[in-house]
Amino acid sequence: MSTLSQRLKRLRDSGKAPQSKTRPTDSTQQDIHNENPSLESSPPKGSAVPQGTGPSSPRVSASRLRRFAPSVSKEKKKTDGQRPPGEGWREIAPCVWERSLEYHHVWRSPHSLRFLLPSDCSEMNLRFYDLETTGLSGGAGNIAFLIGLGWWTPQGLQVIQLFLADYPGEPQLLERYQELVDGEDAIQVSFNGKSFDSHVLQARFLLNRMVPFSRRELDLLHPSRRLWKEVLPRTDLQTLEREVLGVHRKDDLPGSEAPEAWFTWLKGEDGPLEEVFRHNAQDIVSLALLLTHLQEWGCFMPSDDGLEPQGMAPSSFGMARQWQMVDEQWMRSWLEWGWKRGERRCGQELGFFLKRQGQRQEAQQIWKEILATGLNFVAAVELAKDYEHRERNIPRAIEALEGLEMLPLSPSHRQALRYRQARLLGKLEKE
Amino acid sequence: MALSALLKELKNDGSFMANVSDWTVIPSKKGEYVPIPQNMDVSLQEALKGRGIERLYSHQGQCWETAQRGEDFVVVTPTASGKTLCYNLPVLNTLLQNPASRALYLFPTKALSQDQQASLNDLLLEENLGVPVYTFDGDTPSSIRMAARQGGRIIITNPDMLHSGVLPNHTKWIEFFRNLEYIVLDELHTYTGVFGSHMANLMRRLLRVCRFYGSSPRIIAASATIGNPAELAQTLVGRPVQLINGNGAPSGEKHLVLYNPPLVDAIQGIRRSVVLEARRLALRLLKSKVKTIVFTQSRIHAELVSGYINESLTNVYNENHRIRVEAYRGGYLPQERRAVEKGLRDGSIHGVVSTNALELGIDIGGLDAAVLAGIPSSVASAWQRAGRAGRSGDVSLALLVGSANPTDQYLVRHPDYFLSRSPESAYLDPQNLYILADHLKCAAFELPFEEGEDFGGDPQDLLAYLEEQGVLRQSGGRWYWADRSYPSERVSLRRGGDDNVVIVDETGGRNIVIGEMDAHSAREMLHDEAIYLHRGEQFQVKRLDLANHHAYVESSTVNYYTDALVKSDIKVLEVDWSHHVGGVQEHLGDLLVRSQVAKYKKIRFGTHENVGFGDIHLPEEEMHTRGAFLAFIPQQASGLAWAEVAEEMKAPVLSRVASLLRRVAPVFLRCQRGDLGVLGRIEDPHHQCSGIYVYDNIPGGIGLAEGLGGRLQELVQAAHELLSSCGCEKGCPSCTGAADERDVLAGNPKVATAAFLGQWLRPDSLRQEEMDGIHPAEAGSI
Repeated sequence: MSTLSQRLKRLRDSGKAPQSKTRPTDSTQQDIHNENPSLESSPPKGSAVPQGTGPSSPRVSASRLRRFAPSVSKEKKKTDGQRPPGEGWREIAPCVWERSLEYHHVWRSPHSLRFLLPSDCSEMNLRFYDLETTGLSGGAGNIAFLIGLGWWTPQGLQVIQLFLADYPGEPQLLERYQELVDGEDAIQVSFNGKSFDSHVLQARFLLNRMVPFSRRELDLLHPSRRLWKEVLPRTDLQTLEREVLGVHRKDDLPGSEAPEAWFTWLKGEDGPLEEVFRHNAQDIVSLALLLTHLQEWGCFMPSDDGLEPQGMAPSSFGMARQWQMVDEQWMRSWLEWGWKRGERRCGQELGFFLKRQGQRQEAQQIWKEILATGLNFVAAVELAKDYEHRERNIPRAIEALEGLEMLPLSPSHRQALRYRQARLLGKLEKE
Repeated sequence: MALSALLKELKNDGSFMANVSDWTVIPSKKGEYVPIPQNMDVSLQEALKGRGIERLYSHQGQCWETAQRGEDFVVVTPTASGKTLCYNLPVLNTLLQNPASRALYLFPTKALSQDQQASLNDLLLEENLGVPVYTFDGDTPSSIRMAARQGGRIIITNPDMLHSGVLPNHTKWIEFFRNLEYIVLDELHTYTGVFGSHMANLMRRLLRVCRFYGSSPRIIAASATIGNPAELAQTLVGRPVQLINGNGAPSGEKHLVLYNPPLVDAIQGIRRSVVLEARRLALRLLKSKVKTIVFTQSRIHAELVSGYINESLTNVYNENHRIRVEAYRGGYLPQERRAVEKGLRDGSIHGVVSTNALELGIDIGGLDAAVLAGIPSSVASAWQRAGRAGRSGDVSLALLVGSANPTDQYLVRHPDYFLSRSPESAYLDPQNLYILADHLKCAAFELPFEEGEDFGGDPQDLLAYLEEQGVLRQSGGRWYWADRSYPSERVSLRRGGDDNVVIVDETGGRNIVIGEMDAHSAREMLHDEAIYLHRGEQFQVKRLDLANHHAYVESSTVNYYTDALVKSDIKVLEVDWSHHVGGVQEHLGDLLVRSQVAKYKKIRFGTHENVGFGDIHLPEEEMHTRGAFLAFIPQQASGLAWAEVAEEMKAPVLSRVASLLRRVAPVFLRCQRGDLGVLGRIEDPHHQCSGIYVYDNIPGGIGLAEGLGGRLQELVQAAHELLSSCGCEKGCPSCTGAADERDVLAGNPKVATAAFLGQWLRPDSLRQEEMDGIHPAEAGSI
């Protein structure tokens, strides 16, 4: 490879060579790594100036080098695991720092967890966690440089932050994390952790030749989405904080800027790393608040005189969906409540529930109530089935389907409808 | 049998024989067999017997032996010689004997992967061998991906997916990589040039990840016939590879006929069109019940020929001679392609008209005759197409019909040249600095580099360079990826993106997707008002929406088709540096290569007369790249020599020098011919002199043209030698390209070109260079 090193020497020399020519180095240069290489700097027309450079002219021009790598950094100071900004950090291993934060005003909820977790789960085993990573799209090169962890103590919420001050500390960082989330019974609580954070951790353990452990995970994204997706435009943590928990962050650094903050700090330059720490701690606090809020909703029986928890109320349908796997009576209450308030999907779901329970008469009543509010494919078809099979009243069944073809139906629904109508007519003729 | 009778008939047909320039009969060859090896797993032996295979061809046996010795090998096989068993047997045997082991199959395209899965399943499922096979590519639904990662014993994928999907997420593939025993690389000959250079680096990354997980898989490669298969395999995988190059499969008598369409206007030298002639010949074969494949040189021709054939068969059809002929080309929906392939295998389709899409290893069974409507410039392609005809033991015919193109004309008139030409060699450069740097980034993302770690050599310098650039960080004796991006996302292994245009049929509000096409071809075939032919149906394009990758078409019944005219030109954006080298003034810099489809011709079906023009309003297609202009300035050897070329010979000489450079430059720059653009200019508007552009035909440039200057003298020398040693009279496809029979030149272009190059290379002219202090040999290492 000696030729390679020669070529590189030329490359590097050329990188340092002053650029004598008028190449349009526009503002895209510094974030060029976000661009397709082929799109880089298309100079304005007429900038072509034939120009010879000196006899030691490099074989690859400096402008080409930008293709190799995004931003050209200046001489950098290596940090060598220096102290991170902010209070309370202590170095627990080379390049690994830890600090503890206590939130005495954040209290665990007295209500049961059964809305969210199986009954054998204890609150004291919950481990809230959130990672700040160097990339946002996953993959083996994406590492967690900050791990926030939280759990309940008798005093409130305890948060531990583990910070990686440089790459070589990663095994110790992971070891410490494993220590803090010890025990078979631990349950990791996250927001979107099932699709992202847990995969990153899994990969980090493997890459460091450590046995990745699997803990039960409660990803609050899913119940939150179930509850609020119909009433909120988005169900990301920030929206939930604002609309549901009433938490308003001040001067928050968007999570997407975290990677740059770490890289900047790593190069020994000033960057918003402290804001990343704050952001991460706030995420843990929000996780805890969101959990307690969900617990509150989990013990709220819908009624006219009940005192609803504060913040944006979830949809009844969402509540019913969340209860579905846990307690069918609670589900039924929410469906009835929703239907009473005119949520048609609750009505439909209630109809199917009653049908499954064998309460055909009650189900029929629901279908009729739905149809009283307007034409409805599902209700009409269910009613027709009921007339046909239970009451054996073919003409009424045919009547129930009348007018449905006017609705905008999917091709498969339309086909099913035609098939059903033809079958009923055939049956009628036979009779 | 039908074909033998027809061949006899053709031989006695004076009007046919008048156009035949050569009729070569390659005698039949008996198969060479070996028994099924005793050390093969019993269930696999049973599976073979279940498919009627009682013995192996000798080359299959050789592959088996080599694999049992644990050696890597590349097997070179012509079409229909049982290639897949060469690798499937050793792989399946290992997989059956070791229940944890896995294998990775790499095919250059998605279509080939699917074909392969079908044939593997055929061997496996029937016998219930219990080896799960998964295709893992961009089309694999996410629900199946997890199952593939965890349970797939054989994963079939393509380089692009390996590059951007599998390797960057290798931690999800831990079981797979830990137990990887075999890597199979099929269609090895496609990995050449820049694509091949990427592939070689991808293999480095793959083997590096395997090392991390403690596996060291064996490599089996299969290639079509090329000049240097062993060298290619070795360069691609970075270690010695055994060559297995004897074919034990039997072959029937093969008739190779070179056919030149008759002159319709002897004075102007105009011949009958290759499309019409191919139709006539194919019809004659099909009507005699000869199963025929027609290869055309373009997609439009494939549609035209198949349409014409079906039209002519209408009468026959009425008389109940049911003959089914289909077109086949890129751009059809996958299920349409599968249906044609299946129809060919089971015999329900009697004829197919295809582009080079069927040249690659897709299994379509055997056909009796191949008609080549136009002769491919690559010998390997020509033989591969001809090889599609010929079922084991039976007589077959390959009919090569020359088009008006000078190369074709040369080939049909010089049969000896055609028959004795050896296949091209493949070149690639795994050390190309741009490509190497890109893959080092990807590799560092996948795993940190240890100090002293090898990556096709010692990459420390390049790693240090990347750290200076801020994407890596060296710490604690390792190099870590230190950037938020996902590097493989920005590195494309192939030229051009994969932004396909979806073709939507809107006839009567139908809104059905009938096919797709790459954006580049769409500009020529799917512009507004274009007539688009698709499986014999005619559509008119209502609107091409390039921004949203859609073309809307409606059924149409006009009596013409359209052919777009492409204009291209080069604009110099910036010259980074210029110097004297090899007798020219070389200006290296950024170029804008533009091509525009501005007009189209309307051509009447049947007669092929031009019945009008239309305008196309599409933005120019631009490629920003790197290139060099080799200027023949008067102070330099080339300029002095150029001045001596007679004025009326300047254009023909320049175009021939450009052809020669196009031919020899890939050898020196280790690339494929298509990776470079070469264009002669009599009077370049920017540099204001005569000269030649050589540029990287890759957006952004890839360092090829940059390496040109240092080797220019060698290159011109090689061009000169090639020309002088060529036995032809006025130029042929091996040197300057054949002369167009319709051109009238003042002198012999070959002689004039040789004189120019000879003058350029005269020692006293070149001495100037050395005084300038640039020694070609030293400068030549990029």
